[in-house]
This record gives sequence, C-alpha cells and structure tokens, in this order.
Amino acid sequence: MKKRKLPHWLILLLLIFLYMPILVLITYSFNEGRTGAEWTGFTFKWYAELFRDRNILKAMGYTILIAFIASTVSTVVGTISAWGIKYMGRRTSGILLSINDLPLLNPDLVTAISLMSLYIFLKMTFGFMTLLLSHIMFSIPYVIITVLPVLRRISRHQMEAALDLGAKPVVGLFKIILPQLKQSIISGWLIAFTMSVDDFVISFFTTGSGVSNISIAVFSMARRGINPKINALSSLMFAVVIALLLIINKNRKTRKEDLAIEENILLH
Amino acid sequence: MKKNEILRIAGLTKSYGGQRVVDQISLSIDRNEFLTLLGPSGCGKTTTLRMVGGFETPDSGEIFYDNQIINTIPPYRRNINTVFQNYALFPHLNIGENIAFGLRCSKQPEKKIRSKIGEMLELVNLPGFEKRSIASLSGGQQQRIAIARALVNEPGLLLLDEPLGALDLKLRQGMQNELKRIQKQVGITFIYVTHDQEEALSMSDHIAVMNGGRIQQYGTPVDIYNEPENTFVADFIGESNIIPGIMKKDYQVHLAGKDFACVDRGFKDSEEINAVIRPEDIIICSPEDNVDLRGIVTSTIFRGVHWEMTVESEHTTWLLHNTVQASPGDNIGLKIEPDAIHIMRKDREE
Amino acid sequence: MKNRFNRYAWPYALWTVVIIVLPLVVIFVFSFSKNGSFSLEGYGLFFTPLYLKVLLKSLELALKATAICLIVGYPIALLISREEGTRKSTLMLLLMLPMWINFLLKTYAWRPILGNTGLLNSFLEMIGLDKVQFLYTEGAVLLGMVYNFIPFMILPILSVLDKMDHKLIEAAHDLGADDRTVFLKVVLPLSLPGIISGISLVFMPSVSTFIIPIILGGGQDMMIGNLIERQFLKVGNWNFGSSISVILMLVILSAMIILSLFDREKRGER
Ligand SMILES: Nc1ncnc2c1ncn2[C@@H]1O[C@H](COP(=O)(O)OP(=O)(O)O)[C@@H](O)[C@H]1O
Ligand SMILES: [Mg+2]
Repeated sequence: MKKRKLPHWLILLLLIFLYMPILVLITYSFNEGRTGAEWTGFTFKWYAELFRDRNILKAMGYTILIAFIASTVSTVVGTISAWGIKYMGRRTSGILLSINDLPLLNPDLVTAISLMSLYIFLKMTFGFMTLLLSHIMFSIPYVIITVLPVLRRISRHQMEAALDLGAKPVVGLFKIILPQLKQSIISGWLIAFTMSVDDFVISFFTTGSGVSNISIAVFSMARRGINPKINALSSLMFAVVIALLLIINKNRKTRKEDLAIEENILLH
Repeated sequence: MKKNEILRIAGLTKSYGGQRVVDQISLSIDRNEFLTLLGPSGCGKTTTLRMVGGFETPDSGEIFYDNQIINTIPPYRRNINTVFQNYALFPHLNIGENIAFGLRCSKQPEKKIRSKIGEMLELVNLPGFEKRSIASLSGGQQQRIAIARALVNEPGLLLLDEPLGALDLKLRQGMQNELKRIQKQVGITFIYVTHDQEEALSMSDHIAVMNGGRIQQYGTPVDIYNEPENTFVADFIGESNIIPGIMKKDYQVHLAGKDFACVDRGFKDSEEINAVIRPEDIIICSPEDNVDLRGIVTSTIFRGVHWEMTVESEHTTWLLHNTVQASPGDNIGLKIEPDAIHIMRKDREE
Repeated sequence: MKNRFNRYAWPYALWTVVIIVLPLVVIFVFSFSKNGSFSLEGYGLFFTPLYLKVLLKSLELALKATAICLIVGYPIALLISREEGTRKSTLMLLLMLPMWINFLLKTYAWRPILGNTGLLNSFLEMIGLDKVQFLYTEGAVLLGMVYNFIPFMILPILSVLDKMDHKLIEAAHDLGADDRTVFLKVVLPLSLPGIISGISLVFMPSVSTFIIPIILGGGQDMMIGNLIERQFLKVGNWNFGSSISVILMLVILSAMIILSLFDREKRGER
C-alpha cells in the first residue's frame, strides 16, 4: 500500500464537518458584534461577561461539586462492587451486570424520566440531593465496566499468594490488588467525572429549586436564541476537554490502551 | 506417632456441590521428605494441596502440622508456603520486591531483607536479577522466582502445584534436577503435585497415587512401579499388559490360555486375579524355540530408544517394548520369566 | 474464597433494584393509572392521529439519520482501517474528541452557521443568492443528528474491521476473488456485527432525542422526546408522559430485537 501525504478526501471532509462548527463557535466568542456573521472586531468582553454572570458561576460550581462527589462515590462503590461481582456465580453476576448495563443502553431520556418518576413516587424534593443521586446512579456502571475487566484478569491466586506469604487480607488488598487496579480506577473516576460534567438530560429532569449545572444553564440560554456568552463558555469547555484528554493520555502508558478503554465503553 | 513427622492428614474430605472431590484421604509426611501426589487431572490433587495451604476448609477430617490441628488457621498464619500452578508472581513488583514480600509482611529489617533476596537469587541461580521486571523473565525463570519467593520465609513445608506444567519438555527435565538440588540444599519438606508419572518417579521419596479423590497406593517409586496394587495404578504408572487370569495354586497362574510359573503366593486356589506384565519384560524369541506363546506382530512403532510392538497371540493382545525390531506380519515367540509376572487381586469395584 | 467476597456486591445489587429497576416499574405503573386507579387513557390518547404522526416523524428522522450515518460512515471506517501507525491513532483520536464535548454545545454550535443572519446565509447573500431558511427545519434536525452521532457509527465498524484477520482477505484473493467480490463476500459480512452495533448506537439516541428538535428544529412537539419532556415538565400529565415513555421503550426494544435477530441469523449461517 502506498503512503499518501494526506488522508483520503472523504476523511478530510468528515473532519471538517466535525470540527467546523466548533471552530466557528470559538471564533465568534472573540467577535465584538452580538449577532450575525460579520466580523466586527476582536474582544474578550464575552469572557468577561461570562465570569460576571452569577448564575453561570453558580452553575459551574454545582457542576464541579456534583461531578466530584458523584465520581468519587461511584469510584469507591463501583470498585468494591466489582470486587464482589468477580466472586459471584456466573448466573448472579450475569443478571447484575445486565441491570448495570441498563443505564448505559437506555436512552438518557428514559433514564431521566424513570428517575424523575421514582423521586415523585418517593415524594422526594427535587434539588441538590436528587441531582447528586442521579449522577451517582449513572456513574457507577461506567466505573464497574472499566474496573471489572481488569479485575477479572487478576488471577485469584494473586490474593492467595499474598495470604500464603503472610499478608493479612487487608494488606493483600492494598499491596497486591489495588496497585494492579490503580490505572483502571483512575480511568473509571475520570470517565465518571466527565460523564457527570457532560450530562444534561438526566440533570434537567431530576434537579429543582434553583440548582442547575452548566448544561442546564446553557440550555436555558440557548433556547432563547444566540448568546455570545455561550460561545465563550463553549470555547472554555472545549479547552478544558482537550486539557483533560491530554492529562488522561499522559496518565496512561500508551494511547492504544486509552483508545481501547474508550472503545470498550462506547461499544459495550 | 512418628517422631519425625511434620504433616499428618487424617480422613480429609471435601465436596463441591454434592460431589466428593477429595474422599477420606490420609497421609503422613516426614521432615525433609519429597512426597508427590500423582494422579490424572481432576482427581483432587490441587484441592488436597489447597486444604493443606489453607485456601479451602475441609468438610471433615484433620490436618496436623507439627502435631497441631490447623484446619481453620488462615494461610497467613501457617508456616507453609506454596508455589502456585501459574506462579502468581506480582506483576507490579520487581523481582527483588516479589521475593521480599513475605519478609516485609513479617516486618523484617531492611538489611536482612536485602541479604535474603541475594541469598535466594543465588539459590535459584539467578543472581543479580533484583531490579528486573517480572514481564522480562522467561517461563523457566519465573518458575525459579516463584520458588525463591516461597522459600524466603523458610517454611517448614513447601507445596508445589504442577510447577513444571507450563514449561516445555527440555526445560522441564532441567528443572526437575534443579528442584531436587534446591530441596536437598534447603532441607525443606516438599509436597509436589503432578500428573506426570515420569516426573513423580524420578523426583520423589514417596508417591501417593490418587484417583477419584482417593489414594490408590502409597509407596516408594520403585514399589509403585514394580508392585502396583490395582489395575488403575498399574495402568497409570508406565505401560502395562493387564491380563485377567486364575491363580491355580501358590507360584502358578493360568493366563492367556497357558499356565505360567510366578513368584506370588497366598491367594485362594482358583481365585480370579489380574496379572501385570510390563511390556519391556516380555522376551522375543524365534517361534521354533521352546517358548511360552506364539503370535503375529500387528504393528510396530519406533519410539526413540525402543520399538513398541503389538503382538496378537491366541487369546490375548500384548504390548511389547524391545530394542530389536520385528516387522508386522512376523511370526514370533514370546517368553515371560516368573518374576516378570505381578499378580494383583481383582479390584473391589470391578 | 468464593463465598466470602461476593457479599461486597450485594449492597450494589440492592441499589440497582431500587434505582434502576424500580423506576422502570414505576413508569410502567404510572402509564396505566390515572388519579390512582387503572386507566388506559394515556395509551388511548397516544393512538390518535395527532400523536401517531409525531411517532412516525420520529421514526422517519431517526431512520434517515441512521441511513446517512451508515452510508457515509462505512466508507470512512474502511478508509481509516487501512491507515497505519500514528496517523491511524491520530485519526481515531480526532474522531473521538468531539464525543467528549458537551452535546448541547455541539448542537448549539450549528445555530450561528444555519441562522437567518448566520454564516451560510451571509455566504449566499455574498454570492448574490436569496436567503434560505435553514434553521428550524427538519433538515436542520437531521443534520444535528448526523453531526452528533456519526462517530458512534464509524467507531464500532472500525473496531470490527481492525480485528478482522487480514489473512482472510489474502486468502480470498488467493482463491481468485477480485476486490469487489472480496468486499461483498468477505469484508462486508464480517463487519456486520460492527454495522449492527453502529445502527443501534445511532438509532436509539436519534429516536429519543428532544434537545436537537428544540435547538435546531424550533418546533414544539416535533419528536416523541419532546412530547415526553412536555408531559413531564410542563403539563404534568405523568400518566400520558409515562404511556409515551413505555411506547418509546417498546420502539427501542423492538429495534434491538430486530437487530439481534439479524446478528444471530448471520452467526447461525457460519
Ligand atoms: N472451587 C471449585 N468449585 C467446584 N468444583 C471444583 C472446585 N475446585 C475444584 N473443583 C472440582 O473438583 C475436582 C478436582 O479438582 P482438582 O483438585 O483441581 O483436581 P486436580 O488438581 O487433580 O486436577 C474437579 O472435578 C474440579 O472440577
Ligand atoms: Mg490441579
């Protein structure tokens, strides 16, 4: 096969299609004019306005707070549960894992309204707690499907060898099992964190009483029309995503592994 | 109770899902002994070993170590170490730290740990490997590290579950000698599990042949080979001709349509028995000679050191090993000396 | 050992029952009850021409989006799978990167392009053509779907193509097959699992979306997702909302079943 200089034009076209709107958005975020396509001059004012907008700042705060708590809780719970699932019988673990898959396979909208119905059914007040619960609910499955395959690859003889050499079970867990899981636990946390930051649909249906995250804030602005502050916000979030991905990439040994994990989640 | 005994197992039984995997096993092992549990795959060897190691609890029966019952003592409090079937080396630790693991668990001083690691690597012939990673080792080297790691705690008893199973033939033979040397050098009792009879015969002081969760025969390699107690052992250890027959009287047996002189006695007159005749003990001669049997060679296969032949006589098919070749279709005579015939009682189950 | 550690999964098992299974049951119950008693009103309401049209429109748009993603995505997957080394992994990274960007923002990003005073219309004006209404059309919704979901079509196909044993293709050539035959008889059938998973990954979010119609479609009740959202958040008719949700789940479930039949049939053949 000959090595061409550029990828096939079809691939290039797709990449242009995928990235053009984002680039346009970033460009407009520095545009003086409020609406319209014309370029009326360079400015940072939309960024400045963004950081003066109390609602957006509050939403950012909630987003980070919820994402941090939800991903941390689900990493702990998910890892412990994965450990248990490893030792379950095939039938039981099969059933549990199918249920675990439901939030990943179901459309967000279905998960969202089902949670909403549950909270209504339980007569809960919509707000921070329901939002957090929902995020934990959809984050744990990601942690489990990230950690479990790695955990399953660790032979049960590893723990037995540790016990055999004189380690108590706790020591075996911390010295032998967890170090081998570290990479996947970090990935699980990062994925859960990203999913939480990124979520709109489930948050939209399960929050209340003035608690909103970035996505909800953007939605209520976007619904009303074009707003340059959104452009600024998008550009910032895009920058953050790229930074995060770079960190994740650095964290992992090879990019291949990185892709493999992502693929595993996508194609699960 | 024997003074030199380190481990005694009495009536050990374990079932999984209603199926008895280990069935009333009793054994006694002396200090510095090399005992092998030998049997086909699935016969319960690993399960027995795991109960001794503390990874499974017996349903009934006792395990005595140094005259103490240890049935429910967890593995980390037993002075027994294991070399696992696939080594179970810790992939995230380098070789030095793998070996050091046991010492770190018992909080030994750093200086002692350092010198112990060196000593162990010396013992298994891998000096200077401390800093290498597990992944950089070949199968045979991993095997040695697993042994070093298990021996560092100076256990009273070392359990080895098919430790050479993953190695290729050449390496396996080298490691057999190596293991024997290590065992002599450290003077630790070994319980060795294998399904390979040659390995068992060449390494062990005693062998316990297992089948279906039970011990079929216990004895020295020579005893087990020469005097199998039942057809299973006779069949499993080396190749055999197992021929049904009738004990006419002491020192005389009727089999394959003829009377033979033998060296066994103490059977009832006309008792039905099985006779074991090793293929290498049957002598080939010309059919015109004064022979015990005559037959036709039906197949001949070259096995390296010897030829393996099947011979059809009037009543029986014989398996022969001989350095002299006979070709298929040849008419030959067979001679069997009295001490080549080993008489066994009919197995109860049959 | 087995029995000692599996208990760590039981709290989570209980949790999944409460927060994953129970809510679905609750929806199901809601869909059959009005003011606390059994009622089929929700379903009855849905099967009127007005709402059936919405269902059909959702199916139509989702199927169109899936078809476009497949037709465009398959050749691209094929092309990328033939790349090698860092260039290939870079291309894959570029393909995955947009998936990490907030869905809302990606959808919103089309508004400055499609809008009445947007980039596209300015361009048309510049070359002396009349303005065209791009935004708030079905076409815009379709575009939003393809834009958001096409990576979900390409990646599974790519993954299957990558795992395919190249020797099979060589063997087929060796047996005298030309490129066309190799593609039709070897590559395409073997990549079917990837196609199927791609189809489900595009169809499901498309048929259930409510954001894209709101941001790019501008319509009130364009798709089934919008109906559900409105019933739950604006109207507060949980009975009707739940009924529509159950119907949506049934649609998705049947799609999955049809797809898995396809998959099984193919596997049974081999
Ligand atoms: N944890 C277990 N659960 C159920 N059955 C088991 C378990 N461990 C072993 N067995 C069964 O017990 C029998 C003996 O196994 P094992 O002791 O491993 O035999 P060996 O080591 O001689 O090959 C096998 O039939 C095996 O399937
Ligand atoms: Mg075994």
